[in-house]
Amino acid sequence: MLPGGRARAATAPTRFVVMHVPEGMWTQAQKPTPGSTNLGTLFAPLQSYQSKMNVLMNLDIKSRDKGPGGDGHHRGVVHMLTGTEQKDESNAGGASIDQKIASKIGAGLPFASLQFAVRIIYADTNARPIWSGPGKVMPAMQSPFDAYSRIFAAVPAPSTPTAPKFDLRRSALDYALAETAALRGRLGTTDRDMLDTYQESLRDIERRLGGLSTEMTVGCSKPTLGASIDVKAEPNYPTIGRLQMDMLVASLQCGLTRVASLQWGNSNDQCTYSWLGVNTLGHDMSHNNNNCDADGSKKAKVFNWYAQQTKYLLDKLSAIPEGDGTMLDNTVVLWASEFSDSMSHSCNKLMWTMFGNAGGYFKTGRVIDCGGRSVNDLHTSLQNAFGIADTTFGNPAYCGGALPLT
Amino acid sequence: MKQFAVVSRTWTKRVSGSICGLMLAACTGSVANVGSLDGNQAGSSENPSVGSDSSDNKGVPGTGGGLGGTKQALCTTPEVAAAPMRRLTHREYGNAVRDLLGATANVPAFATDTQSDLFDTMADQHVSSLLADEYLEAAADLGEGISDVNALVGCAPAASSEACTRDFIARFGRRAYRRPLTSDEQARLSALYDSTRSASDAATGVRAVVIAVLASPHFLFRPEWGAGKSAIAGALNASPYELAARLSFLLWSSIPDETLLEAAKAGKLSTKAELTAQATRMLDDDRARNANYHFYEQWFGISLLQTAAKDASVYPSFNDGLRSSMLEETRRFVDHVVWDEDAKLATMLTASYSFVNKSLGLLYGVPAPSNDQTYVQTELNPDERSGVLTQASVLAAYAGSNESSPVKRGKWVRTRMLCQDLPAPPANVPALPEIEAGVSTRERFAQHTASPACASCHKLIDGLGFGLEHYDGIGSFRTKDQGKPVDASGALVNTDVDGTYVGGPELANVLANSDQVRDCAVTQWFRYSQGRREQSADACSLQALKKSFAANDGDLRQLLLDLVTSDSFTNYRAPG
Repeated sequence: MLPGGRARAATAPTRFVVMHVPEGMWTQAQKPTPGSTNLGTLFAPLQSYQSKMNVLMNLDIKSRDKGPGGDGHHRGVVHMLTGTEQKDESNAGGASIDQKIASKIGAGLPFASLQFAVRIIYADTNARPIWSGPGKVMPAMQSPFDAYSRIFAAVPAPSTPTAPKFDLRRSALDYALAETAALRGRLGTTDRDMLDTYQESLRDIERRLGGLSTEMTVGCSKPTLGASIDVKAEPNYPTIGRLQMDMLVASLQCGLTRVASLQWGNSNDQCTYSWLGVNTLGHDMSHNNNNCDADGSKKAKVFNWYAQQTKYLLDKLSAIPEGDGTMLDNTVVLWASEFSDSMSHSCNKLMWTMFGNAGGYFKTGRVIDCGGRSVNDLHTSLQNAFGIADTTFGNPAYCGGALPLT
Repeated sequence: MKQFAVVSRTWTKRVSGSICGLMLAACTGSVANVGSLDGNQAGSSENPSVGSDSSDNKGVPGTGGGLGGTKQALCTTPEVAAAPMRRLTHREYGNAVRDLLGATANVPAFATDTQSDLFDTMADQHVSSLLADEYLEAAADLGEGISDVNALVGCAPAASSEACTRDFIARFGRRAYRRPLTSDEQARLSALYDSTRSASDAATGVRAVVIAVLASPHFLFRPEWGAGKSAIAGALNASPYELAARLSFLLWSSIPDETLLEAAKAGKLSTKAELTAQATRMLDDDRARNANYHFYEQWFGISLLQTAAKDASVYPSFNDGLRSSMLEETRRFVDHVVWDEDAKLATMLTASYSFVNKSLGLLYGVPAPSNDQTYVQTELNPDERSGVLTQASVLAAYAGSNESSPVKRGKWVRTRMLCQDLPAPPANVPALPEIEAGVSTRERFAQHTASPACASCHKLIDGLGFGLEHYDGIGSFRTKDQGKPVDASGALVNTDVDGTYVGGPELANVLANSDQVRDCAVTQWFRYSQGRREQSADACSLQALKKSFAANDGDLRQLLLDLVTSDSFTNYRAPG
């Protein structure tokens, strides 16, 4: 049953990708039926990945209603990948699973992780699933054009063997690092913590300015972008999404990072999906029975569209050979939303799907009823797959050990 | 081919609490523990209450005086709360760079600032790895983009360590760091200039200095240390330069000017009269108008309208021109009330006029200029409009794409005007029926108040939002909704002005007479200015501010002068 088998695990690097979809992922009518071979209409575009995925049904975000925080929708986003109570009204109380994994497998890479997003309209807590630690949100790049300059600037073009020069940046960086170190010694713990993230980021830049090793960029091709377009204009949403996925996959392929996330819109969904003929705000649809429930409903169209986007990402990963398999085999893509069905705004009975097996770590090809286990237990499994031996993730009160996925 | 195995497995069995009980608990008791899945909800269902205006469990002076469940901490001994180090907001960065390099400096867009508790000035802004990259790129672009280096320096930099460059480094550094450079800093920047000049040329040396300063944590953050023991136990006085920066960031969203830095140097920011004199001077500057509006724009939350989508089949008249007209109307209105009128909160909430261009004239049904570029102060129908609450910007931002939204608008009043937090909605919220001809929005939303499961929370929300049902999803006044006469009767509960009312103008009038709303305005300004939520140690500062604001009949300009002389502003306490 193991695609490729466990023995193949060693050579290629493993990677972790989060694909976040706003406001739920499926209608009741689209779900697989546990105990039957009926996968449901949601997975229709993903038929070819059946053997490489696990559908995890009935996971709960158990911390969601505990501790400080604003309305439940916002809490769901902050809690879904952190699995712990918030620090205060607006901030997560711990690192999200991708960031914990990045701190393990991202060390020494040009980017410990990369965050991509499509059209974030406003930036309160409902736009913040990714946290590097308590109170430390990781905002996402919203423009693939800016992302390109940031990520691929240091990657040498085939004709020029050396990285571009950054003289004045270099001296400013040295100066800022020296000032940061001096200032740090004069601050108390709280303020020092705030400064440390800047210092760490400066060191990352320092490493990149030092030039990338050829090992990193072998077999790597910079993505092509085309002409610049307005990243906030709704009609461009599908195009921006694809370009961001192109950037994401190319950064993995070039060895620039091993952890990435793609966030589609605000989780309080501000998109009307005009190109699908839906023309209703995603959030308003969620609060409306007839828009949500049935197959063929507006929400079902939206969810199916996101399934097609997930397929685009998986197709790209599968097109890159690695060892005797593809990059997808060495990756885990977690396709997730803060809600189970959109209409109820419930953070219980979630159905999340993981694709790939992290180099043979996970058994795949199953629909699994998690029976109300906590998302923390999935995160425990994920961190274990990436070499973190901890037996809990987030708040241990919501942990019951890793899920039996291996 | 591998078979797709479908496994149905239950690993744990758990008994979930009754959904009904869960939902009923959602608006009772303390905010911190609502909706727990194990049935351990705190609080009593007999005395439903919303949260106080604080996240501090020790209790603080709530704005909701007398509200059930709101803890009150009274001012006993003057204290101040710790002031965490803040990073410049993107707006502050942009203004500061233009003050340093000139109005034409090309400031890039950064990864969006977060808006915790409504405001971008909150001290939880940190520098993510993305933002650090953007800072360094921006600094390099700005430094390389200086068009006339000699003009910036004020002389022709040439020889190593000569007076021209030395003075520039001291002056530029002092302005950027909001305090004189230390001798070490001066020496390091001079060395950077010298080494760059010898490798390249003098102008490049200056650019290198500018880029380094803009990437320095002393520019990007606002570290404070205080100076000298304060009369308040456990606190220090904020130093003169720290006060100068606090004044300029609050009143201008930027760095101090030379006048303010000179006042700090001369020790002329130590008394309330001196602070008031500087603040008064600063409020006369155009920079104050822009900075001030940024507070109101965030308090009223209208920037949401910048990107809000509207269904063209329902609102064919809505387009980007109307959108920007609505935003501009509110900006002009707020500016007018604060700077050209009496600056009273009540005027903000009840003014019978607004600023109208051609598009808005059509929307409001009043005579208007013949183009969209001209805005004229115009009396609106007082039965339809009253102050900011009934302006199209707020009403359109807090609505659906194809309908009004009593819930969004009710929540707007409850959280933004009354400073009350609402707890999380429970899981498994039943959905609303689809929009249907012959069934009004109110009738569909009435489910919330009809169902006991929803009512405990929604009576706190819907009673405020239903009163605004005369306004459709783009803020047009309507007497019918889906063919039915609009019922805009509403009820205020859990406020100091409880009772029934009908329609927007009456609601605005009730709010304008609420002590709770008046106190809330102070709380919002306090959060914005301090960059954090209020805590129990703020009790005395807040009480004094609220008292003065009440005595001044809700004067929003005077409130700024009170803020900059308050203990919380003039003292410094280090965080742990």
